Amino acid sequence: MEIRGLFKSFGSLEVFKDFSLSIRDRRITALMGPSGCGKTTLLNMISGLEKADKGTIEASDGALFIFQEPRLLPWKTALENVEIVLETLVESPLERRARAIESLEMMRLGDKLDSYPSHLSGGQRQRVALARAFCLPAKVLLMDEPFSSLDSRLVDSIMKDFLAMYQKSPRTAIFVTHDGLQAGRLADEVVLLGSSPCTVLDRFIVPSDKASRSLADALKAHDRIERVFEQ
Amino acid sequence: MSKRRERIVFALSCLGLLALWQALSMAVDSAVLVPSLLDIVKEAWSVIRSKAFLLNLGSTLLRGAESFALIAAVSIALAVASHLYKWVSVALRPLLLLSKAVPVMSIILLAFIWFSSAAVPVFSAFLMGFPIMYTQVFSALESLDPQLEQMCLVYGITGKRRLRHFVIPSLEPYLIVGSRQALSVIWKAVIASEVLTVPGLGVGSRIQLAQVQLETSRVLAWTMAAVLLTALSDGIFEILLKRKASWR
Repeated sequence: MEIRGLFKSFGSLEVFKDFSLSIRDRRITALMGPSGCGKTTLLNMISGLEKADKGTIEASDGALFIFQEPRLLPWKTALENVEIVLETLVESPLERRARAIESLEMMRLGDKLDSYPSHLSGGQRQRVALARAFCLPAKVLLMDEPFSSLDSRLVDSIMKDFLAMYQKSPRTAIFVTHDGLQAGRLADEVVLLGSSPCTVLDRFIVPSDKASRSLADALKAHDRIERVFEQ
Repeated sequence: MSKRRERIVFALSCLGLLALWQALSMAVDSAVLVPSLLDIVKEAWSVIRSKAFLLNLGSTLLRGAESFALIAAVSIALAVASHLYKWVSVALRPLLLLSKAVPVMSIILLAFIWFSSAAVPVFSAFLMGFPIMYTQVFSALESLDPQLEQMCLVYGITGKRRLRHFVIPSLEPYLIVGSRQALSVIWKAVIASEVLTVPGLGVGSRIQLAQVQLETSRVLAWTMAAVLLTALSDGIFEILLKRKASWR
């Protein structure tokens, strides 16, 4: 994915000034930076929720969003929440149901299909949101701190299931996070941003394969991130 | 307070009210002023058994239903317009303020001057009930969750599907509460209008005629029928609300 010559201001605040970034296809790129540097704005522009003042973003058709909150419809069950997004894509209701169930089972929610969001835990709700995103074939996946509002004990297992699901259908994923260790564990590449206006401070490829990466490698990436932000 | 104790106190309070009435009727000793409980029950029974009972009740019910349908249609249409165009909501403000401040009786009397008597109950019920329903629907539309709105956009839930999966379910609880509150004022306005305009059939007409004939126990019997209407519509919406909220 190519972002070229991007401009975006809010009033007199120039968030992006001739910003360019290329993101590797079918890889997970972690995007990190101080709050207010424009990460969420960038995701919004890629998905089309916001318009850039100037510049181009290539290959942004059909970008999917995974938000910090699960954002499920409270009056629909876990299964219905996933089925809904397949409505325009899959004509047969049986086929739709089968695909939604498959996606939810991948996220270990096979026994929670008929539960309403209010009867699920925070972690389970976010799992439904992940299943909802992954059952669609979109090429681009935008994740705005999807694991940051969860209990730290849950994050490990959710990230593991997320990776398994991702490996089955890899897409170009941009993963915004504040957590260097989460970036070190999930990302193929890490991009570090500075603010006002947004610039790339550093970018590096995490050496080992994310599916079999050791904690030591993740920690190495984490330390490098810390060093850059300390300077 | 436990549920059980709450029920006991509630039941005792009801009994107390009945006892107070009975004591008063015995002290005053006049069937015209304060008829005894037994007289009222006897009268209520004969009212219920009379052929005209269902006709009268049905006429009032029909007027209420007519007002309700009108209120629902106009409120929803205007609430949607207000949500889309700010100026509509501002333009409606004076009307809402007026209908809150003007006494029901003034509305009914004016309606009686302006319209044929058949239109009076529906018109006055409309003016009383419309602000309630409109306010509910409008505030529901204004408080649609922006985060879910964004989710729908990103996941392609747009147009009719957005309406079906997101907007209407968001409005449902407000619609039910609005309907319930609107109906309780509709019954009051319709019956008060009937008392004043005395149409051939109607609970209000029966109350008015009984009062003219100084049949106090019959006034009370028909009043009980009016209470029944309110309780019935209240009950229906209570059940709807509980059924709809199963996902909470």
